[in-house]
Amino acid sequence: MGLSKHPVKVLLGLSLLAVAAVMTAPFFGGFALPFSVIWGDATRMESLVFWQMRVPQVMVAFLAGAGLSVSGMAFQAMFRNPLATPFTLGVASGASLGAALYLRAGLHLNLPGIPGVSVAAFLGAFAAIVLVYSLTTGRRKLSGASILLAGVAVSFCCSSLLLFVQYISRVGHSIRIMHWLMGGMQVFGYADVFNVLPFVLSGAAVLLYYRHELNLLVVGDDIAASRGVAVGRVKLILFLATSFTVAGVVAVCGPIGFVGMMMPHIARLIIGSDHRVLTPASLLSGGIFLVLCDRLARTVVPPSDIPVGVVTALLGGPFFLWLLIRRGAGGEA
Amino acid sequence: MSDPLVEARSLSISVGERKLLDDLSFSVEDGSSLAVLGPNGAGKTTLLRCLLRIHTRWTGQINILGRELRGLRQRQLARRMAYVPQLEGRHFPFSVREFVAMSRYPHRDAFGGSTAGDKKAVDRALALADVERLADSPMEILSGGERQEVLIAAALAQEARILLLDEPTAFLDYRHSVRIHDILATIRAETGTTTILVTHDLNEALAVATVALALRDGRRVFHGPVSGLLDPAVPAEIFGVDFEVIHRGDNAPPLLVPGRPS
Repeated sequence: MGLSKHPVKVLLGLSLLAVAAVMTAPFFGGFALPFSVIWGDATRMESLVFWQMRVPQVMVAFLAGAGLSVSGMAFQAMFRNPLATPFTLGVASGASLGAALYLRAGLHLNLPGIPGVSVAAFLGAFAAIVLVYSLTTGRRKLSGASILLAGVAVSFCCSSLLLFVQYISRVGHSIRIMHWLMGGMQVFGYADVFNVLPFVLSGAAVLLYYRHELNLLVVGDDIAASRGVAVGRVKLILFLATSFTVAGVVAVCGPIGFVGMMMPHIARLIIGSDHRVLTPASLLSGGIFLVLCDRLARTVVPPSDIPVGVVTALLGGPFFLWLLIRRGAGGEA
Repeated sequence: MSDPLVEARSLSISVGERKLLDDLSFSVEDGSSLAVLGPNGAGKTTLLRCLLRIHTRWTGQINILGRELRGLRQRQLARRMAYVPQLEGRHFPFSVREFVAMSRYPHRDAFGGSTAGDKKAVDRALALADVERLADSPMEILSGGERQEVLIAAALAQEARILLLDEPTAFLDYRHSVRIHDILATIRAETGTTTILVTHDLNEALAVATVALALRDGRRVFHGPVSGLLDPAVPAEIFGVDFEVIHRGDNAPPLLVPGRPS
């Protein structure tokens, strides 16, 4: 259950932890930096690495983790299924395919403030979720496990198409796609921070606004409708917002798995299922988790950076299995 | 007599070739208790889903408290009509009080917290459904009977004049069924709420309803006071089974006992 008696205290604790993680993380990496970097008492190189590389890297990691985690939370609520995530529903793969097609075409069309690759990723993500969702609401509606199967099928189709796109691409494009697909967060400048920020902020704002509706959707669409939620409209807005967030993250960081599944569950375990507090808790815990994974990925085998997706998957895989077994044993997750 | 609270005229809905409801008309008077009866697949749940606007592709007209259903916003509808769904297959990761408080949704705006009025409505609902002792328990640890009582409390917290119930005793034992019937009687006596109860149990209809609406294959086969069900020809037509009427003492309603398929 994990109904915390003091959700506000838990949130406060998570906030402090997030601040601590974001403030200390930039000192760690391929090599540790002295704290004196902050007041400029360091070599020019150290200072450059700290301010121009690590600080934006940590910021992007936090935003990406927060965005993926809160998206997973929303999907789990709307599909009433603990295994519903940006990945199992095909959203992340849809976004990847959109982005890969954009990279393959060698396009460089940027809307003011929004990079073209993010727009392409959003179109892919939204197409995927609309496809999966229409399978759940159509005349022959699917439910429960079938939704996830549909999502996984969509996900595989997108991944295959993506491989195909990569295969027929010229070497230059192909490497660009490959590099981005690894789910790594190689070189991030402040430009990338500002490319992710609006997606995560707007998605989080929408999910916080609809916190009461999310609570009601968890107990059933019929109950939500009878309590006055315009279910069709609200779900559409939530799908748009979550796809938008996932796409913004995937366009910059590539598909990073498992954060969107694990972190909402961990947040639920520590704070309960009330979305008034679960939404901020999912944002914070997702952010903290990805900052830690990112630092781990850069520290383990210096000087090479392991793609962060490898670290999250290594931690997430066993967690996924544990969740399945727990459910299989009759426990509700 | 005042206008009916719920009025349906020529309500029809079909999926593909199959007519789920076929030219159905009925009305529910203020303060009455309607039992919607019929065998499985007769269209009872479909009717509820039309009233709740989960189904929207019906034809005809439905008025709720004098307003056309299609013209109401979902929140406006929720302030007029509350709903007790079937239990099975649900997951409630909330405490009883949290869940009941969630029913105040149609009365608040997006940024408002819960008001003193909300708290009062929740407390009253918990008392009416006699589940105050469970208020701080997690929903997950309750028995089926207790959960059903909490679902009724949650619907009451909406403070609507109409209460829909979808087979509230279908999965309950005798003791819990009787408890639910007692709770429904208390609600009607103390709040004057009009209830619409879907059931396939004739004796439940006799015990808690004043009026019955019987469906078979989406069509109306009976609409009138529940005493009309005591003519054995009526239940036989509804269910396709012969019934025997067993008269009991003065204070207990007669029982209908099924026999052979007619």
